Amino acid sequence: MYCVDDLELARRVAAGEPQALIQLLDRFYGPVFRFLWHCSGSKEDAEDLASQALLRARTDIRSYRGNGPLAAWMYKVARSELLRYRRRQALALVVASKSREELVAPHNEDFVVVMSAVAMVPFHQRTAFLLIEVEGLTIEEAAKSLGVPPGTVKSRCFNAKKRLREILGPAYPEVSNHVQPIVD
Amino acid sequence: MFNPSSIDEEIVSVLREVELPQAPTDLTLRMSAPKPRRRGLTWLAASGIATLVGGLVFGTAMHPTVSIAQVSAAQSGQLEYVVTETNGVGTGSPWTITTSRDGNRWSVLFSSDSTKHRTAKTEIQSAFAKLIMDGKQTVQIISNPSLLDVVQLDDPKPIPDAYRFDIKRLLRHDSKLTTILGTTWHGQKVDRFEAKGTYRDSGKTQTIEQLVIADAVTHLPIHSEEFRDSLSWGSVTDYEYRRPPENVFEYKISPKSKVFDLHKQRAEFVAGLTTGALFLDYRRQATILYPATSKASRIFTPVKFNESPRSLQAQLFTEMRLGPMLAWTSTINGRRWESATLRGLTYAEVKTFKPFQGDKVSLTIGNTKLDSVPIIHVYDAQQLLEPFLEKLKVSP
Repeated sequence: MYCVDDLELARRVAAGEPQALIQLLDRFYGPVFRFLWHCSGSKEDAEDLASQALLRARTDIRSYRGNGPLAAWMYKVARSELLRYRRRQALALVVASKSREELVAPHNEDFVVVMSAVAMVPFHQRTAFLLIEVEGLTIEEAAKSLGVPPGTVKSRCFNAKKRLREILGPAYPEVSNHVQPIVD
Repeated sequence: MFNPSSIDEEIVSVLREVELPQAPTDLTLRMSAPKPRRRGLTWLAASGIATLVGGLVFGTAMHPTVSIAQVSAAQSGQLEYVVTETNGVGTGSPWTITTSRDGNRWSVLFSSDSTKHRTAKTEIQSAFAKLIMDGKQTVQIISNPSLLDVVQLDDPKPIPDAYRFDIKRLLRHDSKLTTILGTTWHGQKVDRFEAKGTYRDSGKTQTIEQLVIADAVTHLPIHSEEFRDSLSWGSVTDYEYRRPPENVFEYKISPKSKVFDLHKQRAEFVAGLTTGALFLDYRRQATILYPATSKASRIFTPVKFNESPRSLQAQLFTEMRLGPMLAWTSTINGRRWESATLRGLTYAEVKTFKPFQGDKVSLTIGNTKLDSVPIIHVYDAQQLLEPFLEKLKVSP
């Protein structure tokens, strides 16, 4: 039975009900994977991170108190995995060139261009933008996921869009040839 | 090119058009497994209950119990591998240790980009050290372009424990262990072990986070990390299970290398030992070997050389540990000897110190006079004395 109440779903997931687990995965695996891919720039790493995030959510679901949508809580868990991944990547001096090869084929050129531009947006602005504009969270929900005030989220999202317009607008038509992922 | 009047919508549209994948089947299986206990070494894959919960939907056998002990056990049986450990990550001066094993043959290479030196011709060279142990001999090669180029040959020895990596030893006993089974890492199905703990350093409490990723089928570790102090520095290790290339066990002695044959040098030293010995090593450290007194060892003993008015201190080689301090002493030719480093001379002064210029030296150490003690030039005095060394308690 499809459960529309987030708190009820969380309770049933915590209890280990198979149908609830399937529902959690159906609802969140895809969007979480997409969010992590756009944030990390690596499809392969996003697959690993998405699996880890869902497994961690399974373990930590009891901490969800229903004081916001389950989606916001789920993205918060995903973001924690992402932060850990980023810290380790920065320390291990991993270069993003591998992820750039993944972008080239078989995706269309617009996708490659946009993903490259997204990679040029500072991380905190990028996550705010993706949660609100792509994943459809409200400003309040995104604020809960990111652990910052709504005003900060709004400002970050605004600045991300501004940056993307600068990169992808008429002044930068050939961005795919010379983009470099930023290190922030 | 994007239309400026609708660029925001176009960007979002492109990002949303990503085809959302289904969750992998094995992830669904893992999600339905009983949650592993925190800090528990294993959790029971109670097949009856698990099958009822998971098998009704998925109809397959449960993932078996996996523990870090199994990872350690899988690792210990390997005879061919290459382990690359990068230390000092995050400090700006990382260095790498590459350990290659092929049965009883070992090669350990230490290298660091941070020790590059510019010569007069602005040529950049890297320093490195290599240890080869092939069961027939032990070869140490040290290459530091601005300082020295040394090859030391010794008898065959077993590989030190530090290079026989053991995942279980890596994880601290007081850390909180979390196990995530059946996840993926770079497209490979793996089990993930994470440990978090704290430790005291210089009066502060610091964090330590460790990660071991093991292949889910073979249980062999493929990647591990250890980061300290809120992830500010640490080490990253990768494991490959393959036969290393033959050239890692090869070495060349360049004409400008200083070669020390420890086996030969040791034999000559033992044959000639009467009153004691003064070792001058390649790193400009002076070590004295002198008869052990009947009284308990002292950590610091005054030393005076006949040819110099300077007073120096001999500091006993000791081992720091909890409990009583242990001193390194030697039994050679049926007699007990103590060895100590000389304090009070800079590296530059060791080279020019008048008493060290000949083949022999006379000195007084504590109340003991030693005449005509031979001066022996070595790479490392402790390595020469290693077969004779014993550890005895030092008096407080």
